[in-house]
Amino acid sequence: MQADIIKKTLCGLWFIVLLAGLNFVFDFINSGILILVFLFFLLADLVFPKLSIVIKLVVSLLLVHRNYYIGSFFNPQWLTWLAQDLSRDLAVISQQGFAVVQSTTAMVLTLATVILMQTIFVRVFLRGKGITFFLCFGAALLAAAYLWKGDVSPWYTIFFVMLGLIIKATLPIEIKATFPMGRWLRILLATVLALTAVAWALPDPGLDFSSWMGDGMAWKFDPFAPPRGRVGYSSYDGALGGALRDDDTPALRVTTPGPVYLRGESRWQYTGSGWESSVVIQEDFPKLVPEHLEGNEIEISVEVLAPANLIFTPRYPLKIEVEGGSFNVFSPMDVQTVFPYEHYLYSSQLKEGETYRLSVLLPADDPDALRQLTCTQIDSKYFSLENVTNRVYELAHTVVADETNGYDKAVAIATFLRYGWNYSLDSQAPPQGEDFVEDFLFNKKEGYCAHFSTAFVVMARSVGLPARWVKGYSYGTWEKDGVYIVRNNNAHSWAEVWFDGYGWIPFEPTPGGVHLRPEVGVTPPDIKGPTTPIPGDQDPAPDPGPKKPKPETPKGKDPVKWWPYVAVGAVLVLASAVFFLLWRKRDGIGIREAYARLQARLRFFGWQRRRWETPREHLDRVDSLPNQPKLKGFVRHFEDSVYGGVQDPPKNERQLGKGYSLFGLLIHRITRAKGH
Amino acid sequence: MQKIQGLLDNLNKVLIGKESVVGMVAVALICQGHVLVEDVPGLGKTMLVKGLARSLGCKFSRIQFTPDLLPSDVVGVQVYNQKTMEFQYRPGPVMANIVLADEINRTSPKTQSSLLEAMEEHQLTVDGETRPLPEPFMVLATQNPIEYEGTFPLPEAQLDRFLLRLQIGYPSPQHEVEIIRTQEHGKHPLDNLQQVLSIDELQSIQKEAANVTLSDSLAAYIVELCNRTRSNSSLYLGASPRGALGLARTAKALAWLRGRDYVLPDDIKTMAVPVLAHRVILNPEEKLQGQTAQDVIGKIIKSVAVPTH
Repeated sequence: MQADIIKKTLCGLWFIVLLAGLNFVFDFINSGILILVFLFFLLADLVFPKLSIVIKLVVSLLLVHRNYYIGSFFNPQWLTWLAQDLSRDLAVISQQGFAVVQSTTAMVLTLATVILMQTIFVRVFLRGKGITFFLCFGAALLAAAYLWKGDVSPWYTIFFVMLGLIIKATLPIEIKATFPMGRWLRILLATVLALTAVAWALPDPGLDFSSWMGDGMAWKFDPFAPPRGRVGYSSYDGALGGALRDDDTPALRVTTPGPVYLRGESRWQYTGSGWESSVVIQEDFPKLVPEHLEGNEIEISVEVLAPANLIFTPRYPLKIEVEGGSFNVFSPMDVQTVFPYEHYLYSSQLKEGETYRLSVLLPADDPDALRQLTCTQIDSKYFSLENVTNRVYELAHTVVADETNGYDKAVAIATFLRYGWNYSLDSQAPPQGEDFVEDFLFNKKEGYCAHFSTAFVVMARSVGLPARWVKGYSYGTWEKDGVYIVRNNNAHSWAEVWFDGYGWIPFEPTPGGVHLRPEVGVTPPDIKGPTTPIPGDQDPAPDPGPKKPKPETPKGKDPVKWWPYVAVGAVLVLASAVFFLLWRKRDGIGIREAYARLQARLRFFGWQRRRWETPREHLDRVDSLPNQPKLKGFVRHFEDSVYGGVQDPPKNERQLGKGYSLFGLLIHRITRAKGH
Repeated sequence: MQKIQGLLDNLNKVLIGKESVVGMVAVALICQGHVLVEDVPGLGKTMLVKGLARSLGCKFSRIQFTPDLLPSDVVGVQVYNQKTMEFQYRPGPVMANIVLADEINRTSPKTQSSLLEAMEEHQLTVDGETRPLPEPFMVLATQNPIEYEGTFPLPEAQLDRFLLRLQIGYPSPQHEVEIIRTQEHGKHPLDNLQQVLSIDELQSIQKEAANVTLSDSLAAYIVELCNRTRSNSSLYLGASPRGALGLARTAKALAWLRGRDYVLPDDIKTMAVPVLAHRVILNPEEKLQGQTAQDVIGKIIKSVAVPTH
């Protein structure tokens, strides 16, 4: 008994060494979703040992689909996109490392790793098999990971191998977890599995399953952390800051010739803790798009995936068409233009699946021209220094000390912020009464887009530039050629500075190189910074609204489309019922059918009975298969039935049990490389 | 079953290290078939037959075939009894339960055929008078495959009457040592053999073995094996339906010996070569290339699918 506990403890330690070693390199093991997936797979192995590999694959595909390829699960096209993504990324990995892969590939690779680790866990630590295999495999994995990472410290690998050798040498391991499972417990667990799968399958769960599902890769388990808001576009910006959770719910599908920033609203009044969200009053305003502005005119269409009443558009929109009606930007008909190029509120709610089309002018901003311009002829509220603290004011002046014109000052501030402070979603909210910007710049020194953009506006105003704060979405993730999916975690904020006769020019003060691809769309003002994407920083900068985490939900207004959920649920329940029946039926199949199925499985590995062989001759040939006595008895019963006309034996004699599933045989094949 | 095991033990004592041959002899005994042992002298053929006779407690006789042996030397003659003034039948050596026909190919076809009638019909015809042979009746004939000079090879039609053709082969070195040791003191293990099986018991065993189940699919398998010998390009002559019948009977007997009441394909495969190989004739070209009938039968077995339904 004592020895048994020691064995189990040692084995557990062994697994943890491997996980910890891998986590040291990849930093993903802590992610909540992965723990849940791991548990789910474990449950699948427990309840449906024969079908578990199928269940694992289907659920993995469901998760990938739900996260990255919204649309019909049964439309096979998304699989081709996935294949394209994977093949492209895998080709790049070898040259540039993991930093450049898309999140799709990252997720697929991670899920594959989870399946592998879970399989090892079941095999080695629940069934006590394949110790040698695990030893070699784990050591190779660790060594390879560290070599790839360029880290020469081999301590994890050495420790892992030593521990494995001790286990291998000293302990004849016979750890067997037998779970005496009653029928009802089995049904209950099967239901839990089915419900989990349904929950993961739903593209936008009406019940907020995603909250217990974890928050993708970004969430680290920390039981003592205060509750977090979630990223996403929100209309309330009164209290900025606070740690955020990732949320990848899709918001928009954008068809565009190239990636663009989508602008939503802007704010001008800084309160010390956030932005006053009072509605901007319509006022007489100089013409938005200057006559002399040159650039490409492109067509963009935006499909609404989550209900909204705001139209998101890149600068400068020339024409907006919403479902039949269209209008010029300066003669609103159906769109309520609260303020020209301030934001566009649609008079009624835009429903899921509705599309609006935009004609957009993408200006080629010329830095030299901008350097000649003054920044004065604009409402004084954009110069407001209300709530700007002295430290921030002085810091701003120090930063722009060498600059002579407005444009260079703005660029200097943006660059200063981008390279001076770190990006983090974990940044806590400022203490009560503390100024948000001052806390960020002098105490926290890390934050997300809300911190950077707010700091930019306050600092720009400190040096006399008229600036405002802008919210919207960044590019989103590539779905297929010319189509991007914009999610809640693409919600973003940046800043605009006014140039006389030219208009509002956006500046990007948030670090995150991928947003600054200058080819199409927003031209970043980051002239001094790198023009190529900074690898490794793909995190979209999320929205700053932690207290009201989600956009106003349309519940009650719209008839909720419930039938797709019911359909998916019904299909899954039906499928599990069929599985269950088949699984029951397995007890009912005769010995001949069982033998035929065994042969079919053996055929995968070339171990099947040859046509001229008798069952016994075959048995002699495959004498390295596991659990020979059981197999022999099974073949005897088969002979009894076929040649002797004897009735089928009792149920337990008709089943070969562990090690004879396709998966069990695969493992056998791998661990006994010599084969038959 | 215990009885037959006693018989096997007895035979294994006199023919050391040849369990499979002993088993085959037992199969032939159960099937009431005759055995042709094709091997060189001195391997224990006579001892085997004597042991068999002693274990059964029945009459044994031995005929040494020579070129000048006459049919009457085999089947017996009518002798004129001057006292009774009648012809009286004097039974020949074939009038026994177990007959060892040594070097059967050394005698003339005429004499051979006199024995073969007895084998097939279990009766003798002497001077027009037909006499039944005792039951059980079993012939173990031997022939030397090495020498051809002065021999009369058995014609195919007659070979077909032997249920099995066996080869004994040399014993392994260990077994040979054992043979020397057992006979060191001038005693032969044969002398200690007791009768273990009565004729009645043998007959009931024969009945039991005949009741062993042979499934339809395996019957078809046997027929398919025989059919393949008929269409095989290496063979000039294939196995007859008598061969198929023999294969079925011997497979049943073997299954019974192995303690089963149904036949397995394994039984059929084991019996295929002893039952079929002497019933087929190789093409001369194949023979020249060193092929044997056993090889060809072995190939045929590997070309027929074993039924599993």
